[in-house]
Amino acid sequence: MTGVLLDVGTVARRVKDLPALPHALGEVLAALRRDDLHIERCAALIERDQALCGRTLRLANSPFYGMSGRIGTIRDAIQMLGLGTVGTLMTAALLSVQFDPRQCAGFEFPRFLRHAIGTSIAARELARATGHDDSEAGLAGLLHDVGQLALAAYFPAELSAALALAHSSDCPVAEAERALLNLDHAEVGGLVARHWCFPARMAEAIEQHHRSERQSGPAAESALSDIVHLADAIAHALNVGHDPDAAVPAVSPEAWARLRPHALPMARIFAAVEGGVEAVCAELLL
Amino acid sequence: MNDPTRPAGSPGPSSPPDTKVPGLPAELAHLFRHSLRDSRIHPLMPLLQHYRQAALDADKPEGEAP
Repeated sequence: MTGVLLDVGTVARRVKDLPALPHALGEVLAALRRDDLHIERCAALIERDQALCGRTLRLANSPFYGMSGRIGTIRDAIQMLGLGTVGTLMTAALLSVQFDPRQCAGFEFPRFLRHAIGTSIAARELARATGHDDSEAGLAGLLHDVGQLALAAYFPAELSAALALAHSSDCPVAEAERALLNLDHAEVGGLVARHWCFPARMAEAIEQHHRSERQSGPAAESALSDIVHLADAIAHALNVGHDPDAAVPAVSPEAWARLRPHALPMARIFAAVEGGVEAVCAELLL
Repeated sequence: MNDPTRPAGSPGPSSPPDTKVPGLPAELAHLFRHSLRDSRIHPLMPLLQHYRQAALDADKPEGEAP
């Protein structure tokens, strides 16, 4: 295998051709960002989709939440689960129809989604514990690897080669991507987030989540970037994706010092991530 | 022959960590192998080690020594 297989310009041109977000997903994301997604509106969106309806009810009645058999309506389910969890369920379900990564050998969508959901829960918990916006953090965590999904769907051979290199060299996937593709999935995620008109700090958090592994580039300093960066490491450390090649990425010392995890209830956060991933993924059949 | 596309500093597949940490479960040694290979203690590692140990202790029958 020789040479660089991709360049930023080629990827950027492909990203510009990405279809707009499905209307329902765009509406949910925008509302969650503004924190004004009302229960009635959310229930109406879910009730349009029979599969999503069933998943939401089953999740609300799962043993993890301790209300088995007592939640009978979507409205009650949303009240019990919270809009953040319901938003995660909706976004995960809709992402799976937006991108088709089946041509990418070595890329496993269920594993990808489990890790994304784990990062989302970790980000939400970290945001709550540090007094930041947990809805925005949960969404940024859920979508932090959207660049890898875009690469898998639109550059499957190239990403497959990078995944194979990461496996054979036992190095971080982002490092293999940079060696082979001249960019990593975090940078591609930043392009996708801007194309979809996400707020600047959410695009930056997605783009910068592997910053400590890069040799150059601007350092992110927003709390959201720190939270998503650490949440990604937590989801890897708990290996919620059940990936035999999983390795915990380096954490930026500056981000660690700003978030001060030693002063946070980390055991509670770890337990929330592990329990939450199992409950949500059971409903997504992952 | 060296693979020119192999990222600098990467040791190849299945390399065991160069640094042994006493009492560290194999699962955590595997997950944190990149930092251990660089002789670094990842800041999350002791927190995870404590969390996993606490879960194991909680699963033990009452009266059994930790």
